[in-house]
Amino acid sequence: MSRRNLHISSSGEVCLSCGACVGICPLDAIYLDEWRITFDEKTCTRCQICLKACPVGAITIGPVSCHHGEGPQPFFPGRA
Amino acid sequence: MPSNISCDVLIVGAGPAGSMTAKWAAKNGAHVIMIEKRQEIGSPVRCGEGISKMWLPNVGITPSDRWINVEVEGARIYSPSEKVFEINERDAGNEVGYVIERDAFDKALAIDAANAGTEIRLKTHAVNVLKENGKVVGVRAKSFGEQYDIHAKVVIGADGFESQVGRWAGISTNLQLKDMDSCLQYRMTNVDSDVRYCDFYLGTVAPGGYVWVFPKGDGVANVGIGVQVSKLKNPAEVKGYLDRWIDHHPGYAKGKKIDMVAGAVSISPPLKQTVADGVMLVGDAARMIDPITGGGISTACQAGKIAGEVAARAVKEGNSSAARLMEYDRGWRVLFEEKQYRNWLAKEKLVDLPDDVFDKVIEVISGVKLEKLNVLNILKAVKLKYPELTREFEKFL
Ligand SMILES: Cc1cc2nc3c(=O)[nH]c(=O)nc-3n(C[C@H](O)[C@H](O)[C@H](O)COP(=O)(O)OP(=O)(O)OC[C@H]3O[C@@H](n4cnc5c(N)ncnc54)[C@H](O)[C@@H]3O)c2cc1C
Ligand code: SF4
Ligand code: SF4
Repeated sequence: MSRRNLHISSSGEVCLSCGACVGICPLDAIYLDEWRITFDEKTCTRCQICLKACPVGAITIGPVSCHHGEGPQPFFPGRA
Repeated sequence: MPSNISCDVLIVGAGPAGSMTAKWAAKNGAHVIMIEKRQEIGSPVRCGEGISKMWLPNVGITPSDRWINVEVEGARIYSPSEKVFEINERDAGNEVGYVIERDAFDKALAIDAANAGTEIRLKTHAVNVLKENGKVVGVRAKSFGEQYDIHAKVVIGADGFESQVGRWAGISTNLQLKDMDSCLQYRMTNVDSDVRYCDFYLGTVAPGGYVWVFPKGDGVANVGIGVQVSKLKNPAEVKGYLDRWIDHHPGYAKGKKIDMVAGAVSISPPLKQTVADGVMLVGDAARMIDPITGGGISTACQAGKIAGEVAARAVKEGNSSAARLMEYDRGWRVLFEEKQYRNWLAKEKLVDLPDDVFDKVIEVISGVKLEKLNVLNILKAVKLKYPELTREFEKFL
């Protein structure tokens, strides 16, 4: 499975690595290793459910330079 | 590259569900491996740390000062206008009892599992399940940059809320947005919590959920919130709700935050399926959280004991088909399926109660003596004074 790390460089490190988004994503498009969220942009349908579920607003939608799919794409902060 | 290995029972996740399953499988003669993606079992903590105590002896856990912070006398439930309903531990349906040090608790259970013979591998992630003719026969694991396969007669998905083992195995664990709470908690010091009580604040302070204050002693408390995801509209709203609640409560606003915990809990009906060929789901992975209290440690442990015993027997008999593993599915359902379902029905109603109704309900039940505190008795008491409020709940009565 192709999974990409998308890092937010500008808005700081918001993610608390809690896994809420992982559990709620209906398509299993998000994965949390010990700390870092990665997500599979090919599987993601941009349903934005993960955005709602994140308690601290760490996921944002925005145009991403590496974005190949349709529509805006969730933007996950990394913790690397 | 590390070579592939095999065992009888492979457990993914070393939370309470995993360690309990491991202990009871190993005690019953199985060769057990438990893998955990974190470097430290139990840490970081993702929990309010409140547990009841009645169930502990049933699963072989001896209360210990190593992980008990405070033994509370009861719970206080606050309505939106902060009318208080106080219940003692026995009447609380045994929902409260100890406030624990969750990382120490999880480690104590892992030590029990290890002492029973479990091999534990830290910093080891399951990245997929292995299947042969549709049957789960192990997992692909990644550890320190290396990937290898662990073959097992029975695989246990004890991988918590973010569970993927179930999905990989083809078991539907998806949640609706209304069946999940998004949570945030601060551990705070210098606050006015009362060590005698776990406190719960209901209503629009936490739409579809509640604010909790669980005392840890010495002016320290876990102050947290759960909000139903279907009621959230904007990013970071959960944090906004909690911060606002704290700002409006001087006894907490003066406190200082020393830790921050996020996470999610399912508040769903029981899953229809928790086993498939070669695999069982336990704890949060099987959505076993109580939809009213949001507590899942006790059910994770109770289900884990059954899962471990059934796994060991299945291994001995050389049969880990879904049909054989159904003994586990039936076992946990006998213990708490009905309660989970009833509490889910009650939750479906409670989440939409307006603040003034919460006020009335709390006012009524704080004024009467309930024989035993449960949803049914509350409804009966409310019906006497405000029959119009209970009309929708007739099917419970
Ligand atoms: C904010 C919050 C407050 C809560 N408060 C309470 C409370 O006060 N009382 C209560 O009873 N319950 C509470 N709960 C619920 C409780 O924390 C869970 O029900 C409990 O942890 C369930 O145990 P578990 O073993 O099923 O899962 P977990 O404790 O989540 O353990 C799962 C383990 O699996 C590991 N894992 C996951 N994926 C993999 C993988 N692919 N490979 C390897 N390892 C993996 C994880 O790292 C984790 O260690 C709360 C939950 C939250 C989020
Ligand atoms: S937006 Fe993509 S990653 Fe987020 S929940 Fe939907 S499918 Fe999953
Ligand atoms: S992005 Fe948000 S929901 Fe996902 S792990 Fe990070 S803090 Fe939790």
